[in-house]
Amino acid sequence: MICTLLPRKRGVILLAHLLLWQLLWQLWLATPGWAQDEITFTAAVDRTTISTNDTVQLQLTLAGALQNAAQPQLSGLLDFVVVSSSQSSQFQIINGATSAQIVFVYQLRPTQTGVLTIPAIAIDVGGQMLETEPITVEVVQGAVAPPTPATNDSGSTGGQAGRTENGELFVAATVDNPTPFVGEPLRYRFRFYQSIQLLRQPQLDLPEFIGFLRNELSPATQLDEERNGRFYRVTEVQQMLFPIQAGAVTLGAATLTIPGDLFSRGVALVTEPVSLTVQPLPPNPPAGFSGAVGNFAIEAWVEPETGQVNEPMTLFVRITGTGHPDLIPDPTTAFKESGPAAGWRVYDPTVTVNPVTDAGDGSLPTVAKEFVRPLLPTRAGGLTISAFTLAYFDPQFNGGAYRQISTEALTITVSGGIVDPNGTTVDSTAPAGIDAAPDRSTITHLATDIRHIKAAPVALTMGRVQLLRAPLYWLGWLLPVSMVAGLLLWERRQRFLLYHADKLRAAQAWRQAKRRLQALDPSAEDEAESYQTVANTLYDYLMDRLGLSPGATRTEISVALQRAMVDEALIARLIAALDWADAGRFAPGAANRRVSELVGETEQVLGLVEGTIAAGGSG
Amino acid sequence: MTRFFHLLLLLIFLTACTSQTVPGTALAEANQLYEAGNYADAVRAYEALVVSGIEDPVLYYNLGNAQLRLGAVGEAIASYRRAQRLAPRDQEIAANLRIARGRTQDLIVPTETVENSETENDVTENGVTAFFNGRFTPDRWLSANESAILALGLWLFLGLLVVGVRVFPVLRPPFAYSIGLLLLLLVLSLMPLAMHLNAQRHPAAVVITPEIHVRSGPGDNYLTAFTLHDGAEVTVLEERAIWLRIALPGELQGWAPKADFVVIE
Repeated sequence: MICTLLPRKRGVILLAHLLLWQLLWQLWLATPGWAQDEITFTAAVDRTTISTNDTVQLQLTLAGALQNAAQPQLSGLLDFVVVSSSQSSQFQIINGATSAQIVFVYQLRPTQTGVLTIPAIAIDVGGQMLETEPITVEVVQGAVAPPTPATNDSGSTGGQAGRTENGELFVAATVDNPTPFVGEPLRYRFRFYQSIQLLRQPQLDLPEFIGFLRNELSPATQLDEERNGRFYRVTEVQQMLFPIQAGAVTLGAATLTIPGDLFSRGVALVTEPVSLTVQPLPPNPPAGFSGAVGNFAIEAWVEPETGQVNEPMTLFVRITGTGHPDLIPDPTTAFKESGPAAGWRVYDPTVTVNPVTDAGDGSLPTVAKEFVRPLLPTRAGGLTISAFTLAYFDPQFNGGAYRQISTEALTITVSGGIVDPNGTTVDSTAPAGIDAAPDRSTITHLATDIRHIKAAPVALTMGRVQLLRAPLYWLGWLLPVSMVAGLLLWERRQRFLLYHADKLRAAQAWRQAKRRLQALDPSAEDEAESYQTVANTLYDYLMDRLGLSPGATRTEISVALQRAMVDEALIARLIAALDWADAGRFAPGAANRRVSELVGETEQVLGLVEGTIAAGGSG
Repeated sequence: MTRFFHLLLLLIFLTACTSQTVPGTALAEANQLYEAGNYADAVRAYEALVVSGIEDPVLYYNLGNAQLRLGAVGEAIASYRRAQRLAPRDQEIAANLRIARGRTQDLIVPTETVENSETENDVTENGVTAFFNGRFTPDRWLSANESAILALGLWLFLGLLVVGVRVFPVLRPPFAYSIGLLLLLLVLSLMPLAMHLNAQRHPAAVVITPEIHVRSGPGDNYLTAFTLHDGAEVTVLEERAIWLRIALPGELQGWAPKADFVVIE
């Protein structure tokens, strides 16, 4: 019974799976609100008139489906640049009715003035393409009044931009200096105020800070604050920003997205953009200035403090300050050029930047940038390393002025080397330099003449053979042909012999027999062995020549010989020789005749038999 | 059978290598005459050595030098070319031949020779650069005997390889490629061989008289097709009695007295 069921087992299991999925599918379809919900995809902006310095918030809402939704296709958005983006999803069941939606929020910056169009945005939902309606936005030059807070719509992500309806959650972004100089550090603060506990971890999307260098500060900090009688837990994230170009700059909005759950909607809180006016640096910077802005200190030292000729040493130059490390130049570059003249071989530096240190007391964070160069003193004595200078712009000094700081020159005592006659210690191991010859010029060809005669060799060749006229040479061309032809012939013969072995044996039977008989020494002491040899010769000959099997009887031998047209008398002689040999083998003394006679008789008989067979008839 | 082949091979190479030698002292004496400035006597001494059967590129080269010093451009070119046949890679021979050709009156576009170079530096070009400069002629890099030995050697080696591969099948894969390469080398080696064979069939010759009339037939009664001057190099197509039918690159050919030429055998 089991054996008959086993082959069907797989099919039964498959059928069970199909039925189960079908049941689930029907349940899914039967659930009110799911399959009947229409899928919609809509677009909305927070305002329709902005300036070139502003951003517009584009909100795309996909309602009715959570699964199988791809990202919206923004490739057609030519008049705007996406500054930031975020996404949230919601799902809820109310009175048996279910609703689900995904909200995509984009901050867009216009690329030109005029009436610009946000084209229809497409999205692929499980193979179905949906599109929004196009939206026009007017972009003017200069500043535009900030938008009024957006009202709450069904299907939108929350209350006012930046805060919830009841003010229990809101965000804010500020900078400590709205009018920095180019390169001047400013602190950007993003704060999230919450007066309620959140079940889900919010996600923060900071703006891209285009036009700024950035230093990340320590992770977010938290503090408590009271506002309007309400206590807030404040989470603060800070960034050090360094503007790299002058003019009016707007920091885009930061977005904090709080995911929704079964009991509440998701929320996206967006800060207002922050406008700055970046001041250009004053003209006529000092020599060596290359963009460092802040307050700095510089120090230099060498390790070890004393050295030996051709023994490695290390130069350290450290610059500490409030500026961005990328704007701090390498003050040792000039030393690489001037070092050799001062007795130093200077190698390429290793640059390290230590992490930003924030004292937390409101002062600007500092960073240390260190330049480490290997050195090799090439001569002995007191070698000098000139002072290293840093030129920078200090915004806090006299309302903003250029400054210059320097290290002390270093004098390093180097020992070793040899003293030349002038009493100067020179490097003992460095070879003297080889300079190019002065006043080099091209060679002028003054005259042409034939080259001189050659010297007489030890021996002169006489009667040189011209191979091309030698018949033997051309005969040599036949050699390989002969070799290959010979090889082919040999292979052919081997194949023939392989497949016609019996014929070969038959052809060689008489020759083999004759050789054996002639090699036999009839006077050998061991007569039995001689008789044995003769007998073997006879039997071998008959087997090979007539194709008889070993151990053939006399009768079989006679019959075979008769078939070969050998006459009776000859057959009788051969049989007699066989008998004679056998007698001699087993009873040598009784053979009554000498071995040599037997050998002679055998050879004669075999010769006659061979002749008869070869002739094809009785001889 | 194997012994026979060994013997045959030995005979061939012995034939190729067998050449008598004589001491170089005779040439040294002739060189002394040259270095003393006695070019006419030096030419006679060199020519005596040639007549005695000495075939050495040094002898022909030195003879060419002496002839060129005497102004016999055609004879000098012939001597240099004989030397070059025996030592095709010798740079001195090539350099002096170039200079001697520069002294000829007739400007003939060469087909088998290196064109006149502007500087002496061209003498040092190797086979590769010569090939890409369009001046590669295999007979300039291998003498007749060298070409013959190379071609035959490759052919013999190819035969051995084929036999070896058939006898030892385990060698088949690696040597299969060798056979293809050898075939290619053999084909390439046949080029200089063919050029030398052609040169034997149609030897070169050099004009040694100041001016000759090349006629349309073997006789003085035929029209003069063109004239040549001392040092002009031609190819001999046919010989009839005292006349040679000669050809120049292009379509120019005609008949001229044999006495006006030195044929480079």
